[in-house]
Amino acid sequence: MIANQRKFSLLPDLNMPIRDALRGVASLADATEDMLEPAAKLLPEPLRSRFQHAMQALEQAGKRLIHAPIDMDQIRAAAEFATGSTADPSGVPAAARVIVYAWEHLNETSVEHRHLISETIVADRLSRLGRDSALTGCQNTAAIVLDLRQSSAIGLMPGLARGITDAEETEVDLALVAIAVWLASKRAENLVEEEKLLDLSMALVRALQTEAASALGNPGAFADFLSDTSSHL
Amino acid sequence: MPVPETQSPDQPLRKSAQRLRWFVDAFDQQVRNTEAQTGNAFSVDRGALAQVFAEWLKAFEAQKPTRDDDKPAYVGFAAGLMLRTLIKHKPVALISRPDSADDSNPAYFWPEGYLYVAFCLNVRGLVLETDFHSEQHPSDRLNESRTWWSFRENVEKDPSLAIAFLDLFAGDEPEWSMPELFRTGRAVRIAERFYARESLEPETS
Repeated sequence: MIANQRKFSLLPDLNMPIRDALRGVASLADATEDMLEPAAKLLPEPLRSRFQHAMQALEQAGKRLIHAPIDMDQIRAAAEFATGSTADPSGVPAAARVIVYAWEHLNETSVEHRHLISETIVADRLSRLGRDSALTGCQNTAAIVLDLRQSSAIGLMPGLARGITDAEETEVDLALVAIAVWLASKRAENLVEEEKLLDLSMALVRALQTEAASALGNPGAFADFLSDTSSHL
Repeated sequence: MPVPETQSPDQPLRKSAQRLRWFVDAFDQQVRNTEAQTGNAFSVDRGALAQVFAEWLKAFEAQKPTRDDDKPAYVGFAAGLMLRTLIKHKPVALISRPDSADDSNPAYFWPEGYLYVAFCLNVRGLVLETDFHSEQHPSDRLNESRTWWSFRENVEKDPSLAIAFLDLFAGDEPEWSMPELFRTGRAVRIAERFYARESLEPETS
C-alpha cells in the first residue's frame, strides 16, 4: 500500500488528466476515420459526408481544447528544470506542459507517427527523477529524455490494429531529441520565435539523425550530443 | 547585408554565425534582398537548409585553426565551405524570373548560384569587418559571364572548387589545388609573396 502511495509522488494538475483524455478523443477520432474509410465509402450520401464531418468535428474539438497556449515563463521554467538549473519541484508541471506542447507542435508540423503523449505520465516521470547536483545541464536533459523514452508516457492508442514501424520509432526518437535540444538551447525572444526555434531544432536533429541515433545508446555520449547541438541551434 | 537580429551582442559575429537560427535568418534576408534586386523569385527548402548547416558545421569544426593569426583567413575558407555545401545540397529553387532577364548577367545565368555566392560573400565581408576590422574588396571577375560559366561548369564536377572560386570573387588569391584543405599560415604566405614581388620589382625595371 505504501508503495502504491509513493507511486504518484506528485499530485497532478487537475487539468492534466482532462487534457490527456481529450488527446485520446482527438486521436481516436482520427484513427477511427482512417480505419473506417473503406467502409465509409460504401455509405450513401448524405450519410457518408455526415460521418466524415462528425469524425472531423470530434478530432478538431479535442485538438482545440488541448491546445491551450503556453507562455514564455513556462518555457523558461521548463528549460531551467530540464537543464537542472533548479531542483524546485514546482517546475515539474511547467516542464510537462511544455514538453507535451512541443510534442504536439512537432506532430502537426514535421514528424510522421501515430504516438500519443500523456502529460500526466510525463509529469509523474519528471517528479520521480532524482536531482544529482554533480550532473551538467545537458546530462540532466539527457537523463530526462532517456527516462521518458523508456516510459509509457509515449505510446500508441490502445486498440489500434497496426503495429509500430521502425520508421515511426525513429520519428518518435527524433522528436524527443529535438525537444531536448530546443530546451537546452539559448532562449528566443518570444513565443513565435520559440516555435520557429523548435522547428529548426527538428530540422537540425533530422540532419544529424545518424549521430543522434548513435548517441541515444550511451547517456554520456547523448549528453555531449545535446550540449554540442544545442549550442549551435 | 544587415546583421540579423538574432546576433548576440555579447559574442563575436563569427560565433553567432555558428548557430542555425542566425544562419537561417541571414539566408532569408539574402533571399529577400536578391529577389528585390533581380526580380527573381525563389523557394527555399528549410530541411535542406538545415542539412547544409549541419554538414557545413562538421567541415568547419574539422579544420578550425588554433592560431589567432589564421582566424581571419579561416573566415574566407569557412565561407567557401558554405558555398560548396549550398551548391551540393541545392536548398533553393528558382520559381520565376523577369521576362526581360539577360542571360549574360550572372544573376540570370545561374540565379541559385548567384544567390549562394551573394550570401557567402556578404557573410564573409560582414564577419571580416565586424570581428577583424578588415575590408573585403570583391573582384571584377564577379561580374564576368565567362568566369561564371567556368564556375558553374567546374563546381558541377567538383563542388570543392567553389572554395577557390569564392576566394577569386572576394578578391583573394585562390588555392586551385586541393582547395578543401585549409593551409595554416596562409595569410603570412600571401603577404610574403606580395612582399617578395615588390622587392624584386626594382631589379627587373
